[in-house]
Amino acid sequence: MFRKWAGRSLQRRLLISLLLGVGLSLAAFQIVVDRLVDRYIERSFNGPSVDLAQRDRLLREVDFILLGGVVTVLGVCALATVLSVRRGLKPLERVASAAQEVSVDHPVRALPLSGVPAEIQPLCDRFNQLIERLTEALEHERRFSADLAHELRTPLAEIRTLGEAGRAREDVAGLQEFLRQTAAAAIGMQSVIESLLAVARADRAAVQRALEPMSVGEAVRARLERLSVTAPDDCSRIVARVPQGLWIQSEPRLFDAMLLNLLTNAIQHGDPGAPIEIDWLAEASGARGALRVRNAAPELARDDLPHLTDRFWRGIPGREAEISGLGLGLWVVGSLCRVLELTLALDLDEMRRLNVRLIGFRPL
Amino acid sequence: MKLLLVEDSVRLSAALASDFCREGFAVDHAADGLAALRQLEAHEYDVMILDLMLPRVNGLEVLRTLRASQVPTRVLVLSARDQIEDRVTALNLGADDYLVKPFDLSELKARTLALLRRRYGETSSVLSHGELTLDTNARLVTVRGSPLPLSPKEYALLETLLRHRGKSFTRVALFEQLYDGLSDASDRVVEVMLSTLRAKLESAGIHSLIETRRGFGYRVP
Repeated sequence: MFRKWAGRSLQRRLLISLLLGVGLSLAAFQIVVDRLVDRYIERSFNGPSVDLAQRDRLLREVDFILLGGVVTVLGVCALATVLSVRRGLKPLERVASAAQEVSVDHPVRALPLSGVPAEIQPLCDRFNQLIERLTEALEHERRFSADLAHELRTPLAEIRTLGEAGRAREDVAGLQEFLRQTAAAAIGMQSVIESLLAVARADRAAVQRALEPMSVGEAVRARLERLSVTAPDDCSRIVARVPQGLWIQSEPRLFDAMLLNLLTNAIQHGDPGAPIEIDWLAEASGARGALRVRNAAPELARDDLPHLTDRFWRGIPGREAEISGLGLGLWVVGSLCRVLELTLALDLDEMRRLNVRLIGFRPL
Repeated sequence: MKLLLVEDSVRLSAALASDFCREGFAVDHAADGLAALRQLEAHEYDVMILDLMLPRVNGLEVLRTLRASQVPTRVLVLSARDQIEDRVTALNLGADDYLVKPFDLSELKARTLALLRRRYGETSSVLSHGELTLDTNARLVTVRGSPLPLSPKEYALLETLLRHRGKSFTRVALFEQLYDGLSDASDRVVEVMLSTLRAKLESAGIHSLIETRRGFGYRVP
């Protein structure tokens, strides 16, 4: 019971420790001094005409004085300890009230650390680092939501306007064209939503638990088969050189999502007359390998490479050949690479071909 | 009424152009900021509908250039950017109105017509001449209260002449007001339209509304 009561408060612990320490020291000091004084008094009252009553009274007085001194010192020490600890803990109250004000709507950059005891400073530092990371994550989410809202507004405006303007059309051919355009705008909107959902659903821990053996050649072949239905002309210029019998540990659904985004990116933004190549690049040790998708990108500049994985990046304004599309494909690939613990590498070779490599697959 | 539509979404601009053309507007389209600046140099527009996030030259830069050149074209910004700062920046740079995407088409048209009225210092949406009235909101012409059926182009021709009463327009000037820059039609189509419009007005009892001034063109006195 007492240990529980004492353990709850730093102030109580300090007070008990101090009282025990000082009390024991003073008790020892009192015993020694008491003995010495008693011996001195007894020696002074040694003789035939000694007043024993007076001697005993003197001995008691000395005992009282010493005991009084010990109690006074202990009391002063206890008071000083309580005041000092209270004062020392004052900055923590400020920290606590600042921490209480932290909320999703009002995130703070850092807790006030001036005057915080050195022993507690590391804890506050860690807390501040955590707050900073949380604030950055919140800011990131807000930007993401704003970007998403912005990106969805244009296809939404297209669909709404096509619907409203189409109502007034009387010719069947014109109406059909409006309906075709409405469907195309809806597909664009669906593409934005699906890309973002693919990333949002890819939880790293869950994905790492769900890794399974998969054949790279089979996965590429299956993807190309599906692509040949939706984009037969573009599919005919895709050349895949992946060794048969190559197995890796990965998540098939995410692998397919990355491959689809890479191929869509190459089809939309690459040279429409040039081949798109898929290769498997094995390390000399054979321990790791990379999947490479390569396509001619005559309009791309080296300065663009760092921006290719930025969300909603569509090229530098002012460029004669502006890049079209949603600006999400390589961002999705980059995000899924992080989930699968792979490295995404982009480079432009001397023949102005964009090489996108997913590095870090472990062959089985 | 000449309208410049600056919008990089092909689908959206096609739908808007189709709708405004049906209302009798002559609509030119620019898919990027640079094309918009070229169009503004070549023609005078009554109203420009301007997107902000444009390829090559952004919408705010187009607006800044337009206002620096003292062109009286009214500008309605049509953007997906909905923040207060975006609106304030555009309005401070000289935009006359701001509408956020997605929008109601009828609201966009109403705002465009309001800008058109402001462009010519009109306070009412009704233009009248004797027994003839033209409601620019309803896009309706009436004579003594009875509707006069006109095609969109005939309506636009009459509106242009009534809006600039006393001012003479050459055939080419009227053609530019009524047709977009990509039109394949000959400017002689204006004479045909004038003839059919005069005939319709005559049959409704409105005589000699449109004058022909030799060497100057056509006008409503």
